[in-house]
Amino acid sequence: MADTTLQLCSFQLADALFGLDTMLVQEIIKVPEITKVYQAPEEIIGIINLRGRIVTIIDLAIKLDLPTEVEIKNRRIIIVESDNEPFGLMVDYINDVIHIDGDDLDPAPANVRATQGRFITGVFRNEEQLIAILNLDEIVNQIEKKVD
Amino acid sequence: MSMSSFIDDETLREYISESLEHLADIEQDLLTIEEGGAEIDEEVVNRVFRAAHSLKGGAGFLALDTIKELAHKIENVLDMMRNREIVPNPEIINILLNSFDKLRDLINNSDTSNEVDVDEFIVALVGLTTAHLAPTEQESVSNLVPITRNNGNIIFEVPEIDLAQAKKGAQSLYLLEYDLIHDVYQHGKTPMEIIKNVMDLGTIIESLVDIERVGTLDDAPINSIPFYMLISSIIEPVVAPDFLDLPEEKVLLIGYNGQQQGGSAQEPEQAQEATPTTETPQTAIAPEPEPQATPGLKEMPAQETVPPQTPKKPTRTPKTDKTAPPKESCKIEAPSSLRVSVNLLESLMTLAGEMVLSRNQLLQAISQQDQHSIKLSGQRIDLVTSELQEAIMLTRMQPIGSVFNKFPRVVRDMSQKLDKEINLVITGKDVELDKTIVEGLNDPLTHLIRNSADHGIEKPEPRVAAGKPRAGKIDLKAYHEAGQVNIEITDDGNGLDAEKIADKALEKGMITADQHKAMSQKEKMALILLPSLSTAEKVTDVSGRGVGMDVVKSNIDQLGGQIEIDSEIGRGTTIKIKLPLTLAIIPSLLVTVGEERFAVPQVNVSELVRIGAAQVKERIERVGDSEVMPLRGELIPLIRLDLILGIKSTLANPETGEKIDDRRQMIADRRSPTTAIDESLNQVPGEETKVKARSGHDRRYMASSDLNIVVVSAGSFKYGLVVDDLHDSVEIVVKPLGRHLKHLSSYAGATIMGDGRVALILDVGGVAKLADLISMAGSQRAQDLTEISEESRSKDRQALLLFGNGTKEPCAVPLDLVERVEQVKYEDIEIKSGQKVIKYRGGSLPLFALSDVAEVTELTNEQELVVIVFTVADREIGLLASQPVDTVEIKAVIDHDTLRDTGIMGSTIIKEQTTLVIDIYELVETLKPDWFKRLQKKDARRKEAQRQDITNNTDTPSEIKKILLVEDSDFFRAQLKKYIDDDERQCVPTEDGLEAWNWLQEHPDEPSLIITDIEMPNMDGFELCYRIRNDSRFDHLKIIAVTSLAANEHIAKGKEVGIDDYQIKLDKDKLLASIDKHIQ
Repeated sequence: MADTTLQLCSFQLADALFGLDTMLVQEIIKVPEITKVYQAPEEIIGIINLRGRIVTIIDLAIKLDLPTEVEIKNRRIIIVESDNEPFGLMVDYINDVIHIDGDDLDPAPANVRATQGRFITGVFRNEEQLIAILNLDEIVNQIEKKVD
Repeated sequence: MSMSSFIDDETLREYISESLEHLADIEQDLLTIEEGGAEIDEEVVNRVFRAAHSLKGGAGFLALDTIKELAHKIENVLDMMRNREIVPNPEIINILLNSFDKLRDLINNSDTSNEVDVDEFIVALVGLTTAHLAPTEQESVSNLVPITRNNGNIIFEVPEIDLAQAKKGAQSLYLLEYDLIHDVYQHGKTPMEIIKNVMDLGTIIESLVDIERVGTLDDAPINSIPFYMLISSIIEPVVAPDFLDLPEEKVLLIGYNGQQQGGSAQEPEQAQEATPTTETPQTAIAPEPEPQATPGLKEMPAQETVPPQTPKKPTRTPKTDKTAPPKESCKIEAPSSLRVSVNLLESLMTLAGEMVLSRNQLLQAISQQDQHSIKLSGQRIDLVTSELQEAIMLTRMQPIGSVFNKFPRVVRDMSQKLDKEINLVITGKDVELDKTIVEGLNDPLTHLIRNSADHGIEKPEPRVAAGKPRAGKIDLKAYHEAGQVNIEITDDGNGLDAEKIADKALEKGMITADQHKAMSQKEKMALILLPSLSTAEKVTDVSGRGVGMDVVKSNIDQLGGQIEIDSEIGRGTTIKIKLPLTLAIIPSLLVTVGEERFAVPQVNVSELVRIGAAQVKERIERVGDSEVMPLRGELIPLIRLDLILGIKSTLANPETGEKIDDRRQMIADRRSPTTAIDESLNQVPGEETKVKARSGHDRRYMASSDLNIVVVSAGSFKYGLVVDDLHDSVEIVVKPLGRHLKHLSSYAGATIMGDGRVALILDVGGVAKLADLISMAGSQRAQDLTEISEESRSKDRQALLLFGNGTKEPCAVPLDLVERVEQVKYEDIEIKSGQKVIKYRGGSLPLFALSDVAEVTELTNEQELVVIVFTVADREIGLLASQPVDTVEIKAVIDHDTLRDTGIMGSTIIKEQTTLVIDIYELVETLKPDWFKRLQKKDARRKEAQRQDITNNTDTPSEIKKILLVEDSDFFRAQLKKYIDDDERQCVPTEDGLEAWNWLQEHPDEPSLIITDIEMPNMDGFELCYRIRNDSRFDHLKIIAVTSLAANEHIAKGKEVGIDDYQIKLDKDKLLASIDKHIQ
């Protein structure tokens, strides 16, 4: 079923493997100089200059509550776009792009913690690993607006 | 059938944007017409007429029949108006305004306009026309006259009145037939151009694109699309074809009966004629048969062979018109395009060319490694870029008039609704602002204007009762000031009650009782900008449902503006909005805190203060929980940026320059009475410094421990932002923050710095809010006030210039009097006819020394000399003095007795030294009495009196006049008293307005003149003056106000409350002259 073939950009965060539809990915960059925004929600690690645009960077490790040990300069940022606004998702490592059949997707298992659960649209089982597929809109939109 | 084959979207778009442009100024013009009444300004009426006319002309072509119809009816009314057949009155103008509103609506929704029912307007307009016609003519409005060609074809029918009007104006009627294919498109023209051209030559009465004929040619190639226009014009028939750029045969002269003239005039179906059939009216233009038209006749039928035109039934209801709405879609948002002058565009092109050139030079220079050329190109690019930036910004500039113009209508409608009389005066329409700002101003300004009209201005009766003119006045003005644009809305209504606002805020728990007590009037007034605090006691449907001023404020905030309110109960309110010229690029000051860089918009920066480490303890005071810095008599609350934003601040280690974490505690955690800032200086951060603590380098004396403070102002309050470092001022391009960060009040946006990194732009108002500064300001003022009352009030701060008279005698003189200080050499001093002078600015400056009049040491060439320049009696003079020269601001308590001498008003202790305070006026008076006319006059008077005494030998002691002096400052009071008191005048000193007022109650007849300070505790000078002016017992009293600085706004306000004159406190000469002038 060619229609349901999905290309996933897979990446690693702490010990977990995640995937994001490649159609959503604009580019992947190394971590540039990040300007911290004080008073901002915790998961927003700062803003960067991406060729003249100001891009908000979300640290997925904080967002998904997966403490990482990787040094910041070795991490990577996936640039995505949501509602015409670019965002950067900071992850640990970028893995391969994998082709999967949409029919192979399973719903997120019930034991995925609640905080993560709503950010995952489904899981895909590889030979040895489980890849959780992220729900980008949910991630970007479920950032609490701290009202000051 | 589709018209899109020949009416493209472009034409419609052009029509819409032009129509909207025409409509933009209509309101203004109509209101002018209304104001003029019977005095008709033809030019203005013509302008409106032409606007309606253009709308009609284009609409006819585009088959926008509803628009055409409405515009036509409006045009009729205006035509009669300019012929003085209708006298404009508010009712008529109302109908016109509403009709134009409807037109605008229709044009904005042109694709559906033909379905809109505008009968209501048509009826009203037709009613207007008929009502003003002679009874015999009234039918002509509804009577239709067919326009008939010689071959019997009726092209269209027009109301008889249009023909009658043309006749009245002695104009000829022409039926024009343009062929859209041959006469228009193939000539490279657009239909709009044709219509415009025709309108320049005459008036279009009716127009029509003959769609039916096109429609019937479905299967045949369309080779002509006729576009008919009936026009009236004063052009001679002979030249008309040339002017109209049409072949002669297509310009048909039509008689006032609707019949084609000339040629073999066939008798057509009977037309209803109200006009006599003798179509030879007053002039010879129309009557003679048009010879050129005849050949046209022969050709016409050839073109019309296929569709034998059936006479149309009069279809006056456009909604059911057969020329159905042609456009499937073409909704156009008007402001999406912008008009730019060709000149500007050309200068942009030139600059772009320059830019390319410079780039090429740079590339070449780089490839050749030619450092010099690289530098040159760099400079060139720098220059061109700035110019380019400026030019591009200019394209975005729009006059604020586009917003202001709607207000006359708003105010007019409101005053009718509210039964008030209000005059709106608008100035500064040409002031230009960035497009986005102009657009953003619409809502807040409308709100403010409505507020003024609704809540500000009272109804006529209460106004008259309060002694004001019946009609209220709203002043709306825009002007440039210091690189910003100010907009002021002033009304002379009943003003805002600051107390009421504050009470309400207290009631709602927005401020504490202490703050309530301590807040200044201005601060209380500013509370109205807080959300959910509107004082509108009753909600009217006019100014909105009590939606607070907070909406206005947030709108203005978004535009980067600031808002200030000033109001006086019973007299009116002024709201001042300060706006940046543009939002896109703003000059900003860069600061750093820890590792973080921030940009502070330069408009918010008032000044920069660096406090040396050693002075921190003296200069920073603690009030309650907060730190403040006294600055020229004002207490500036301090906010530490790192604490407020939660930035980990670093301290540079003085020895190594290495940055270490600052472990200072948060202000909130602090228990000890020292401030966070002293702690930062005293606390030993980290072990490293502990080791070095005794090494003799006390960190507090290192430059890196200096305190850098950016004094910023946001709205009505000022505060100091404590940062680690101050950097350059740069122009930054503002970029918006993402949607998750937009709501953060501390930031106005972000910018990309030269090194590619991002820096955040601070929102000064937001930071203050974060720091809860509104309440801080309150508590500080409370402290401030108690401090003042505790302290003996007689002490006041006075700026003095310190200098030496030799090494032993330190002297001082009030700084306000000093013009300049110049260094001189002893050898340069010359003596000319007994007077010491130096060459100075091309002239001679007379020099005086204190030793000339008082018993002090004489200056010699051993000292480093300076000359202090003063202006006395309108002359510049120099006082010889010696270094060191310094300035201090002290609480001067002057001892007027111990060391009193000529030219010395007394002594005070400054820096633990007894210092002589010089009275420069007395000094010069003593040495040069002939410079003072006043003295001479007085002398003359005295001599005269003596002479009379001798001759009459009677005892007539001249009456001593009493002058009431109101001055809170001890220093000035003593000084002024000394100036005033002499053998004819006696000064009654009081310390504030209240004391003076009480004294006046007991001695209403005694004083001959009042001299008052403005800023005083208990009751200020304005209030005192207001009371005096409202008490008939004191009608004869003149009031002179004295200030240390004559601020224009003070003077204006002073004049309002009835102050007769303004003088500078220490300008003795002028002050005495003024006293002489005003004393009874």
